[in-house]
Amino acid sequence: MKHDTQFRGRPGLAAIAGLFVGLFAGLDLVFFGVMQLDNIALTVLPILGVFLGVGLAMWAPFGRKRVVAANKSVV
Amino acid sequence: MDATTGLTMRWVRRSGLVVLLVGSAIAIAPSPAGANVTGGCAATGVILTTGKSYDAQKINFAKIPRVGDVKWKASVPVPATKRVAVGEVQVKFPWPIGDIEIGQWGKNGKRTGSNANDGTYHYDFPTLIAGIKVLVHGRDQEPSGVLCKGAVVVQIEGTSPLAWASVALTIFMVMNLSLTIRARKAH
Repeated sequence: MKHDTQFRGRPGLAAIAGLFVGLFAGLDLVFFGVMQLDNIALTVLPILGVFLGVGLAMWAPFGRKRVVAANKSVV
Repeated sequence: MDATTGLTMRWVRRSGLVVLLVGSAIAIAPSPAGANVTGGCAATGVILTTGKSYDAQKINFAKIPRVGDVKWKASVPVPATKRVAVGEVQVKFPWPIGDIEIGQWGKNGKRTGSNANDGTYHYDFPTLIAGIKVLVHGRDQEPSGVLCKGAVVVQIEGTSPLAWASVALTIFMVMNLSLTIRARKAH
């Protein structure tokens, strides 16, 4: 059970991916006129994306039970 | 992992989710609308192709064609004497970029003798910036103490081709994110 408190996803890669998800989501909103160019969300969304990525990496892996079950069946 | 640690981890995750949702809601909330022109100055424009007129004292949002000719008129509430009137027009970008100056007058010490001006201006914006709502604001400071300030949100009609590229990149990055958080193979 020691490994339960460790990251099972890839927090570094997830943080980078989250950064770009936030950046491009913000650009989508600007390009489609949902929010103004000066909206602070354009700065905030990439930062939130980083936290989202790390958060999801903490939560990962999804479907862990199946992997653990498969592993046990091999052992 | 004991029950207390598990509860703590769940609480941390839920709190993180709440912070993300609230942060997103605050961040995406629209910026305050630009104020109309203050200080007694006046500015009006008519786009000749559409015939639509815009009065800076009445509007704070203008959706304009990408290409056109605008017949404009502006005035300041001061006598037409020789003086140094200083002012500028800026476009507002998000922090940390801030304001970018797109035009200015009087900063080089050049004197003006008029208190009103008019003309016809032809403009042709690139398609790449179509659909973007931009806050344009400006001010004019007269030596007599009159200070005029104004702001307007301008949106060019149409959709930028960059918008579709941005959507494609967003989808690609979401897929990338989902790959980084999937379960690893058991060792």
